[in-house]
Amino acid sequence: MAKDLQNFAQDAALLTAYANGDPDAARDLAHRIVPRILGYATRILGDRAEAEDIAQEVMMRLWRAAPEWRAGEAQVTTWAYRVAVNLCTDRLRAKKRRRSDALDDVAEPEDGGIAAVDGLIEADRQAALTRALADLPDRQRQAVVLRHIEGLANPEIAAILQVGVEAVESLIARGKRALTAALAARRKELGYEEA
Amino acid sequence: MENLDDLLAQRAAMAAQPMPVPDALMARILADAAQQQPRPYALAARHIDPPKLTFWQAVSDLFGGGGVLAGLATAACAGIYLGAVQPSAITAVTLALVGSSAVDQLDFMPSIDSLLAEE
Repeated sequence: MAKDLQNFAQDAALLTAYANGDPDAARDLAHRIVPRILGYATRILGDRAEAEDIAQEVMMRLWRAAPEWRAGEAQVTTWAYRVAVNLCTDRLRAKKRRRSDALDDVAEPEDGGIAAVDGLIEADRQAALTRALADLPDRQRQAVVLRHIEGLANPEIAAILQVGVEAVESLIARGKRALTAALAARRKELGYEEA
Repeated sequence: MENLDDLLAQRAAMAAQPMPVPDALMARILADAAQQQPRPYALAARHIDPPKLTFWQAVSDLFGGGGVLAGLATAACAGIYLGAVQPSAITAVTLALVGSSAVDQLDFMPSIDSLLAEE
């Protein structure tokens, strides 16, 4: 927790330095924030190119907000995640509209990390998880990813999704039930023993 | 649910590795940052803007401060009061000095008539 607080303070200090004209602050801040936002957007959208667009847009909005930034009102990473969540939601809605218009086959979502999994069975299981995550309603998917993959605490997720902590708990519980049901249907195929 | 927790934990472990950011993306982001960054001269100009003065602040500054202006205003009021009311004590002093209480009878330039007469 102390390390988190130190990180939050460092992010805010870098953003203030950027707003005051420090030429190196932008580079340091980008290296701290972009990998997290890029990873999150890739996991939510399943499309690396779109995730890069999201990361660039989030940072652009951060640069624009810097001169008016009031330290202590919001944490920089929470703010960045919140913008990313909203941008991802817009992209997902647009994708769904296009999908229903075109009636195309749904492309398999990408996740850069799966290639690193050892063994075919583990890779299949992770691919199944990606597929099941992609089928979740947007808010449930965002809550599950933020909690169980990004490793954020529920109060921070509540601040990002702009809902109460109880609503976050409910979203995560419903999301995990849906994931369990989706994976249970493929137990044998994924090499799990029958319960 | 146990299988799901294992899969999520495995995915979280993969996510803990920082996602490599392509150089081209980082270059675009830093170009945006440079374009949006407030310029030092703009910040400096913002700081040296003189504060806007109200009318009375400007008048007060012209006379050397609020205290001086208040003193001048008090003296002016006292002069008008003494001229209008002409208290007996002041009138007696005036009569003793100039021999009359009527101001228009005073000859402030007594020598000018003789100068004109010579021409």
